[in-house]
Amino acid sequence: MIALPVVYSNNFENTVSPFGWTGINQTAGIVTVSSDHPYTGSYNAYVTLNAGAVAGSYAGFYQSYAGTPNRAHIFIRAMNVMVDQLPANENGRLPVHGCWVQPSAEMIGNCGFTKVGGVLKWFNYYRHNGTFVFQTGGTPQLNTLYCVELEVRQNSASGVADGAQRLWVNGTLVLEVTGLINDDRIVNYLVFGLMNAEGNATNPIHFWGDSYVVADGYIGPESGNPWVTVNSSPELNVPVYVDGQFIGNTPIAVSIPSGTHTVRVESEVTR
Amino acid sequence: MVKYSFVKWEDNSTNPSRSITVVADMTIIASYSLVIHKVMFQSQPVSVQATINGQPISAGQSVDIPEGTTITVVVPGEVSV
Repeated sequence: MIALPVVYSNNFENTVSPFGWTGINQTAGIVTVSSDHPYTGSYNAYVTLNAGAVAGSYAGFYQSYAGTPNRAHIFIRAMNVMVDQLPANENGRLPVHGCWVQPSAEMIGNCGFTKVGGVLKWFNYYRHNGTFVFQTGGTPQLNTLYCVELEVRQNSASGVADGAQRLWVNGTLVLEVTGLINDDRIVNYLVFGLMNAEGNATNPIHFWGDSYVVADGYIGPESGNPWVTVNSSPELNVPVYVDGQFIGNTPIAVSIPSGTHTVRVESEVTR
Repeated sequence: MVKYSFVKWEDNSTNPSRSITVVADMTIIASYSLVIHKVMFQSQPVSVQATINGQPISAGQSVDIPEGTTITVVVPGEVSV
């Protein structure tokens, strides 16, 4: 059973530009949706980053983010994430998810694919005390579909070292850093795809992704089960229990297997 | 801090625990209302005017107050009859 307070989701089924996002950046490539690859029957995000694109090139989706009013604790997940080429240089980045501050256009944290020792690796790129730190690990493969989820938790107060950044792949924690003083500014901008990326010297890099979800809690791989959304009127952040298990407070969505279930809310709440 | 009490679900069922049959994505809504109490003002042995939260009230009258609310009652220090 998966339960989360959903902030934003996009399955890229709307093929009208910019596909439900604030916009797309095609400075160094083409951004579209496609049903051609890697699977049919459903549209997915599809990005082409030009061959020879230099580090810091842009081809991807972006949107404003206002899910958390102050310091962000945000989870971003996409299914069927895949790339088909390595970046040109060692430690070159092919970002999947990113949290930014606008209008200053500064990245707070991102994650994706990189190249270490000539082979593909995962990366976690985060701020700590005003410095960017690059963390790598795992052994992803080209032309392979992954569920990629990024957690960015900004430090709770200025100077307090309690920020964190985590990367899950297919539901497994791959990279983690805690005790961060990552930034005091508000995350208000999310990017998806090959944004601030480095191209391949000779071939375009193709990126695929789908089932994008932003939430206030860990999302995990898509289960395929139906989602039950529980709201309260007025909205009171009421505790919700499904089959006797506390799942969180309204508004909340829970993915549970088809069938009969018991949903309970608190009979009285004080606010 | 005020108290709210569950009233009903969107299907008009009134038990905060309900059974649902899930076959596809669905949304359910729990409705709540403020828990209200009547506060009646009385005075003895004479009938006086007072205020509750600045609003005049006479002996024998009542006002609706949400549970959990702090109220201020002011009565006259002296009365002449």
